[in-house]
Amino acid sequence: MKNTCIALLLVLLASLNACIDPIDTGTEDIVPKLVVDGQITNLPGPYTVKLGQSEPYDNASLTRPVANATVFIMDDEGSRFDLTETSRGTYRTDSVSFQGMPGRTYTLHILTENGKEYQSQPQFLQASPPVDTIFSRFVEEVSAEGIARDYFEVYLKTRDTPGERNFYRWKWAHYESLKYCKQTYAPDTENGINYRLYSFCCEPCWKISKCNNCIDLANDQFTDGRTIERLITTIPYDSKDDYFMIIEQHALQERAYRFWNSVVGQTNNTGGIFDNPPASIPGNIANINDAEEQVLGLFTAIGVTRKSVYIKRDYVLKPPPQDNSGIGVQILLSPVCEPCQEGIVRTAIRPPGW
Amino acid sequence: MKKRCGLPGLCFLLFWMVPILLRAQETPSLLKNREVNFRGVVKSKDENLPLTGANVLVRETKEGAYTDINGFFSFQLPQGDYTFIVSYIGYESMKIQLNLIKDTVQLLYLEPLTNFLEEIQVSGESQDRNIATPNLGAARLSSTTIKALPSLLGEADVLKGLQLLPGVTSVGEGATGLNVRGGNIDQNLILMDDIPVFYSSHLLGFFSVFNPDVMRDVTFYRGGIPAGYGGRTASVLDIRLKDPAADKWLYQGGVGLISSRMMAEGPLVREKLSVLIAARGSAPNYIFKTLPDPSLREIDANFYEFTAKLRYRFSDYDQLVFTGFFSEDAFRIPGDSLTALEVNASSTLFKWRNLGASGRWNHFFNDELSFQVAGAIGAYQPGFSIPDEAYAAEFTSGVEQRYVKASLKQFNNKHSAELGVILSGYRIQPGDLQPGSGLSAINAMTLSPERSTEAAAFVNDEWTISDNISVMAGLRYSWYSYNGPGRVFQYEPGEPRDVSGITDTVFYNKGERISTYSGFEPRLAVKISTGPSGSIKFGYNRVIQYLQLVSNTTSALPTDRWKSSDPYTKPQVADQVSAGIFRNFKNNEYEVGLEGYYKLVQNMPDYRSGVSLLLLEATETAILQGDGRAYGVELLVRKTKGRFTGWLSYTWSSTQLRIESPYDEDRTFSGTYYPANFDRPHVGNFSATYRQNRRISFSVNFTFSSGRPVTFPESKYTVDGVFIPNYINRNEDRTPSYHRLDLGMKIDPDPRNTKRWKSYWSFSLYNVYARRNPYSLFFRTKNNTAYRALNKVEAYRLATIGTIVPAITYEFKF
Repeated sequence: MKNTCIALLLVLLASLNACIDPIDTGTEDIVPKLVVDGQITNLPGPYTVKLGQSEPYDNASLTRPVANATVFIMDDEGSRFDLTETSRGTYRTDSVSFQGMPGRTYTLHILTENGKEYQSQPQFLQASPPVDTIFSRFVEEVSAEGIARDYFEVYLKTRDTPGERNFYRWKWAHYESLKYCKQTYAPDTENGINYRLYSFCCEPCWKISKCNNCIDLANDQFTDGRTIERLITTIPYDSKDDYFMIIEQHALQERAYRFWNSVVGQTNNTGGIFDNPPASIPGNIANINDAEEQVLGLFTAIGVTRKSVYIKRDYVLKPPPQDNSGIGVQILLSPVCEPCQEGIVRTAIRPPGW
Repeated sequence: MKKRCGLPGLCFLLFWMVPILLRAQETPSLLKNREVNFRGVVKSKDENLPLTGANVLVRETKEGAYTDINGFFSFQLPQGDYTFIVSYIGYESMKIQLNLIKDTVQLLYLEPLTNFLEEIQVSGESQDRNIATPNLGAARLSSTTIKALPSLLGEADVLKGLQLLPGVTSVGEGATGLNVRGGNIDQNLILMDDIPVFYSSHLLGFFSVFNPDVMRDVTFYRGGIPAGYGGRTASVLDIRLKDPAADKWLYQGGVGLISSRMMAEGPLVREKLSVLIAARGSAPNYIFKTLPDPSLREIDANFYEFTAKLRYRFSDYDQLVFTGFFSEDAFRIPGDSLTALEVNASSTLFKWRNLGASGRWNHFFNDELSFQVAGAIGAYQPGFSIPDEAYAAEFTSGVEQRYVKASLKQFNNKHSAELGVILSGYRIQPGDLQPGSGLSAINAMTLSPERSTEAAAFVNDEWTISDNISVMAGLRYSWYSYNGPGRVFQYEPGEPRDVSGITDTVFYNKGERISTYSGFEPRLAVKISTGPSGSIKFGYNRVIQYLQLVSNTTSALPTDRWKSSDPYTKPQVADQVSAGIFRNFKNNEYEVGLEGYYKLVQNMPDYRSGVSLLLLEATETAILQGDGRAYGVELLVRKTKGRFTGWLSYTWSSTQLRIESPYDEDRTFSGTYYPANFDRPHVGNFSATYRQNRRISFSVNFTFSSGRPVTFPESKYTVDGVFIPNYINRNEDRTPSYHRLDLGMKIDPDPRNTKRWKSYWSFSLYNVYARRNPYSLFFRTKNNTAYRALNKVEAYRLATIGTIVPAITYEFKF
């Protein structure tokens, strides 16, 4: 019986197992569609709106940008905020003149180079309730091979606003300060020693870890007005040092929630018998002259509350597992420093609360 | 002179007398001119069960009759000497000679054929039934046939057996229910001794709730549905349980990889009151424990069921039968991915229960006319619970039907007529969520129950007009009422229905009718013989369905809810026309049937994307209705005699749906026909049994079908760093084809062995060449934040059972 994937319920489970094989389905030619990816919040700007085109499904390339469009946001008081194109297809608000306000309603307007006019549904910016507490719980786990894989669960507590429908999304990011901004490997197989060349950072630099794919959603249909306790993520027990995190709580509107909920349903699709059959996910932008044109993506106004915390890891008595990565490695330090490359995984901007 | 005179006189007298004397010898009754009645019940000697469809022939008059479902037959004959020949497939024919002077009742036992060469396959009925009756799309499976088929993990299963018949498919392995001629799984009326069964699966869909030991036979209609049945549009599955043995106690049991079972039957009062009790239970956790994936190993599942039947015979004219049924499943899975409560629970325990009871009283006024009253309750109660303290929750729901059916049956060699009424009450609890502990953050939420009534009157006659033409004609009139108390939301006129667009709420008190629907449901089937061994048939039927299952997943979950028709959700109406050509060869050894059908269904449901149906009060904001059309051709070739028996079937069909959605988000598929999830254009089955000798038989089963429709993404795009596939052309692509070979072997006890204890072994290999049959295709986008250029999307294929599954089952009788 050892090999049998009898079953069952793999079907139910998000785990890939032996009954799942990759296959080749071939490619189709497609008519590219406009994709809108923009959001504003109640936190200080600038906010960006990206315009692009959808691409064939098995294409590995980036989204093709839609450049030279006129993009602006109108609020319910008739004020207009223009966005300027900072790089091809990326449009940015002015950080001084515009910040999202809870209680206001915003609409995105797009006029493309070829004269097509698009508009989003009005987006109400709802304030997010504050994050009450962040706490952790130590979990001891031993892997199948007998190696300790202890970790901490990080929980969030917040109080739902009673009497209204609330839709939540949570995001987290972990920052750690980076000592070396560049590492080069030079294995010397003859002596069995691995040499590494490390370069210091020229300025304070932080490494960012987050999970882009994790779409952590909830609504209060069954928990209206109650305290919401939520497992946000798990962090490793690899050191007794404090673990710095920024946790964001987003208050979504129903349409945006449904959008993300459908994304979760489709990207976590395991092909199981209890999946909802996939369908195109409706966005909230339309061509004002042609209702039949499918416009993909979302423009949202989100109320965000943010909490920065240092998760204590020194309350655990047992020592963290030893870091063996340095054994057999000879580190050489470079005399030249390396700049901190601003991007998705690194930043030179001090994270709030650090 | 006297002599001369006398001779012609005598001659004259003789001439005059001869015909009378000759006729008197043929039918002495002419002299006495009196008719008597001869009736009886045909039973099997080994199991003491009535044989349905046995052939009783009167040699002298060349009259014949088939026994009915209770093994009963009846003749009206002039007094005299007769020879009756009683025959039934798989049994020794029996000849009895009787001198009938007065009304006579006879119990006839048929000996099973010891060499079993003419194994009963699919039909347990008379050899030429397929060409002789007007029934179209009807089939009968005996418990013997079902047990002879090789099966997954050795579990004989009636629903899997039916899938070998043309026109019957399912969404995939492990999916619950049957899709019959393009119907949804909720369009099958499943009755077990009159008990309505709403959810027929154990272990989420791998096995059915029907214990093969207690089943006598299954009558299955996928067309030509008699007017006595109604309420489900696609098919009728009428399961009859064994009548308990009335003369001695018998015990039977079995041990299998999945389940083990035990049954006892016997008389409490000999030939009067008899009882049958059966139990089946399963705890397959040891199988999950062997699986490589730790999350699969955490699955905890078990099921059990009880069946009991009590039969009381007052006299030859009256009998009373009670049946009770209870089954329960528990299934614990890690996480809460299926419940949509979004509370990231550590595990969820699903539980579902079937319970039912029925009673039936049969009274024969005389040999031709009988009266029956049946009453039944069938309830299905699914639920789930979450143990975690912070979100402890208990969800329960249920659907229940109670009904009374009374009918008069007239049965002679020209007519088999039925006239009756049926009154049903439905009660649906759509959902009740309660916090599981004082610390739970879950708020209690209860949807108010839905109550409805259905009443129907019907008349149905199977009329043999001549040797060549017979007709089944029926008419049913059904009336349905959705009853208060309840409330109905009003929406902005002209706008798509949305919770935010509710303008008003209308309240109804208890006893008030919220909405009613009604309609005539004509049923017709005509048979015209094209010679002694062939016939052609035509049929039409309309069925109205007032209750439906609401499920937006590919295969229904046990916790999916049932919904009564209400002011917004209209009842489904199906019209089907069908026609067929049937021919038998070599003295009924080979049967060939070709049937075609075209079916239109109004108000087929579909669902608005992204809306959760769990605990949703305003279901009209999530349910869309449209029409469905299905058509197909079914070919069945069967060999019924010899060492080799079996059948080959092929079906070509198409099932499509069209939804006119008022919501702009459904724009991409609205208004055009798309294939239904279970549409499989080509399906072929081959099933055969080879009987080596009295003890050993081998069976083989090969099944082939086109892939299931799936939607491939057309393109992809990024929002907030997440790659999102865009699915446009609904169900336009297909999974690769499905095919599978199963082998089985049965060892029956030595017939010369006279010991009471008899052992039966069966071995099976499911999916012999270990094909990873695709259940579905799905797509995953890699979301590599750092190296976005590597974010290629990959397609995967999921197989539910990707390997060969051997099984061994042991059964015993004593």
